Amino acid sequence: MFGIDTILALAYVLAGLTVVFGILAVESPRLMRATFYFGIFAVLLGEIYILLGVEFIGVIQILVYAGGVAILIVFSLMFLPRTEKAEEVPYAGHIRALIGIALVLIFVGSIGYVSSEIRGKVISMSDLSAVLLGGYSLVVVLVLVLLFVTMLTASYLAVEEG
Amino acid sequence: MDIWGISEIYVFMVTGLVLIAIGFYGLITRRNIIKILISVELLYSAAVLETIVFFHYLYPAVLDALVFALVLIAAAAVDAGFGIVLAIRLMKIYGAPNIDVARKLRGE
Repeated sequence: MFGIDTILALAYVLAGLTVVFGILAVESPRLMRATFYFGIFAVLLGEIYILLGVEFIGVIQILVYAGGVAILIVFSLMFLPRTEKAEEVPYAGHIRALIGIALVLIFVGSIGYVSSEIRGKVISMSDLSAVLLGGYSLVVVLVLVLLFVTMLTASYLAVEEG
Repeated sequence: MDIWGISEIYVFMVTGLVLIAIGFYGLITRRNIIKILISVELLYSAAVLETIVFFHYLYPAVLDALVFALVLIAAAAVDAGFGIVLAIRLMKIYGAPNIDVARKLRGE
């Protein structure tokens, strides 16, 4: 690619886009858009991990952040009152939705391209599971207990009256 | 892989540092609890990125960093769950997901 190493060019592009979408996620005045930018940010960060050869962490990153946290935030936003004024421009919402869908398709589709550019050793899931269930089995159990307790406590706090 | 005198490790390390700066900026300046939650998630992501990049380039044979990254991602998920519940509770009790209303908790 113009005499530049492909991986380094990809690193620059992914790093730049990650920072841009991170700034947009914090700076965007509308919460729904900020959450959307955060989801794109999570996908880009997952692509960086995939580029580094740690595909499993990249997939977990995309699943947990873009598929879990971002959707959870969107779900919670539905409980909040809508303070924005109604759209005056006709079809503006549809156009924005189309742009959003196109962005998601582009960034999710680029995962395949990034994964084809990996060089060097790829850390497989079997390597990682051997480490996890070998010397770190207690850590795995503690994390599972933490997640379970969090789930119980959060659901209790959410439904508690008064 | 050095081009223009900068290697990938610097690109990713600087990216992580910039993300930490953005996260702290959002944490300090934003009042909405959802925005604060997004900023905290940015900080977690930056920590995971720095960990993975550091170990990937300096100790590629050591997989312990990946365990640390997985634990951090789990902690971020826990944090997000509690943050969302807090936002919903603040909304129910005070009518706004603004962190300023929670100052009543400490008696101000």
